[in-house]
Amino acid sequence: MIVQLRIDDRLIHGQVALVWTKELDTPGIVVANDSASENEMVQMTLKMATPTGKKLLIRSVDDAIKVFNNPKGQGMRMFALTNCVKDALKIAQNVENIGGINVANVGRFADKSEGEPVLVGSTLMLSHSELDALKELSKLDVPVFQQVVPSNAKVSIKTLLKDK
Amino acid sequence: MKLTQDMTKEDKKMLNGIFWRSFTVFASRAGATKAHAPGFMYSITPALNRYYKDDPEGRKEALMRHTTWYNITQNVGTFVMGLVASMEKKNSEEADFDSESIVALKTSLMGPLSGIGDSIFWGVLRVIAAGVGISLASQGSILGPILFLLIYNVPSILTRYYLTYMGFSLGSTFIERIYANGSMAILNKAASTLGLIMIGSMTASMVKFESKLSVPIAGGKPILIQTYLDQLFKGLVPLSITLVCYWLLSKKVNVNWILLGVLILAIILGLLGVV
Amino acid sequence: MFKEAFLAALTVFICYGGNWLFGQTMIERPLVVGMVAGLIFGDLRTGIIMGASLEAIFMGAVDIGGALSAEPVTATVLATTFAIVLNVNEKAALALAVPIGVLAAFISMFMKNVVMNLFAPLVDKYAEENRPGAIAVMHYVMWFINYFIFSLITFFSVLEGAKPVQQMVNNIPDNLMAGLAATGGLLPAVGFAILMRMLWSKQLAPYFFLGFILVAYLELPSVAVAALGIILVLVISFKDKKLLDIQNKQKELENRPVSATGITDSGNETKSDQEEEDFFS
Repeated sequence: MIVQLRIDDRLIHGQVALVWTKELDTPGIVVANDSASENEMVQMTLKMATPTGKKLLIRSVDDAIKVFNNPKGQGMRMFALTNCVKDALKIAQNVENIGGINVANVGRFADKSEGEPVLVGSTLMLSHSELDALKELSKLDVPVFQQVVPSNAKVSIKTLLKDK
Repeated sequence: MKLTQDMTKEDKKMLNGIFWRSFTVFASRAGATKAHAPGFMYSITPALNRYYKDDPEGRKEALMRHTTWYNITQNVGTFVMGLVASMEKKNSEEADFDSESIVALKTSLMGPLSGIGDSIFWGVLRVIAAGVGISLASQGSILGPILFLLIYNVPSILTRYYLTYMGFSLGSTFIERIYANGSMAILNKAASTLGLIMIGSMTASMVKFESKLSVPIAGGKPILIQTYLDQLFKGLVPLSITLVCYWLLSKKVNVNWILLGVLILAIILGLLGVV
Repeated sequence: MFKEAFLAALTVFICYGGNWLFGQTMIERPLVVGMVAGLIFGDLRTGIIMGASLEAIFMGAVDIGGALSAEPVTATVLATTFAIVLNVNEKAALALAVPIGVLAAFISMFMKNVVMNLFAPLVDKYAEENRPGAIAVMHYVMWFINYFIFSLITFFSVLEGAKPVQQMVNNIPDNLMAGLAATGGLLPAVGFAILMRMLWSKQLAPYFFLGFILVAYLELPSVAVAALGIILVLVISFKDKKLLDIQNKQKELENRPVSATGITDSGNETKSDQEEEDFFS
């Protein structure tokens, strides 16, 4: 089961490696990202960032969905990571039993091709298509919130999306 | 390690420029969306000026590339600066070089390098330096702060210097190598072990609790409760309080509430005459 | 009070601003700030001792991923100023430092993330105009503005707050004072707990208790503990390295295609299956 699905544009970094995996007590980390699943260099760096004693799997979004739905993994606590809202939406639509979706950091590397991004929260800069995906996501019956580090309070995305 | 063997004078001059500028990398912070991009751009300017000397358009594109969010533990960040310099060099020489990959690599390295950098420099080296510094400074000795600065900075600045050169000459293959042969995991474990020994020792020396309560004895001197506590286990109260704080943190209680709780607990103990 | 307020603000500017202008060289830590404040106010010894106590309290105020819990510079400068200039009881000054640190951290985050955001568009603009020189100038100007404004907090706190703080502290009853004194002794526990979160694992937990006993029972100075720790870690690492080499050898042997059984797997499909097998095991 997925304990938490985190959207973070740096995938695994200091905050995640040091804090979240201990916090959530998840032995398995799954990175669902198409380009990372094909890029050896990125895979290396992600493996380096994984805390000792935790297992890491890097898969394309479609393959990751297969992993999440694998009967072997039903009893296993997993921490899932994507780097954009669209990928997270795809997973949330195809996987049952997600504990929560944490929209942590998005858009610091935003491409400006769709015009000026919308500032939703201090660490959320969303392009228009990402914003639409986030609205879709908040309609699902999974708790969707923002909590950058565990010591922050959870902020519901619905409140952030008001009048956006 | 022979880092400088194939380097020209020009290379060294550029890398030293990056090394010196890198000290200021976190001096400015352009809000939450760019963070330390200006500092990064400032640090790698020597490389951009050199490789795009006759190509103002190229330099402009390079600058625009690097306006994205940047944050890596500083002492290891120079590795990325050196690496970026070597990739910008390739980009300026080869027409079909994929310039996108420069930012992609920079971004993907931020996480792992900060994870390792934070735990080694913040979690271990600083803790050892502070442990030594506090024990001398608490007796009023000026050696305390001075040793603290030396123990922390000598290894930090050396790391910063060598990693600038390493990033430029070894590049990404080196990272893959030390990861693949498992050296990284050993380094991490060693750092955590040493850090925990130091934190344990400082819990014993820094967290203080002394009770004033005493039990009256008929026809004799009253016995201090503290004596009993020490007989049970020395430092029992400080150790328990530290472990309770740790447990509360792992139960996701906000740090500031815990700080407040300890403050109130101590004040109540004072009002009751326990301490 | 104007002179003292100016000096205190200058200390914050030098230590906090200087730390970030020059490579996070830790001159922002209470140990050093206490010494500088003591030097400026002419009581070096008190400054150093205050710095040592505050370093223990703020040890865990680690800025990981931009999540700061307390800002040690302002807290140390104000506590030391109160203790030296106003003759406030040191223990009481230490207890005041914690709420000040939390408040200052809040203001600092606001400055860096919200106020300094004003400059973000300029970064893009100068890049598009191809002006690295302008970026360099802006980089330093932003630094100056941020820390200058931040130092003003200390300036006005000392200017306006000195008298009320002094009166308040003079009216504290004895047993409350004892309680405040005890907070200085207990607060470091929180800082150490934060650091433990960073490094703790079941496998390594015994080392924390080892460190505790070395000091509580054997009363070793911290230099000796650090030296022992380094020796221990080296021994362990050599062992680990040996084990690792053996494991790597074994893997090599296992991965050789075994021709006798006729099974030679080498396809991406099986490699990823193998990975998933390991992941779920």
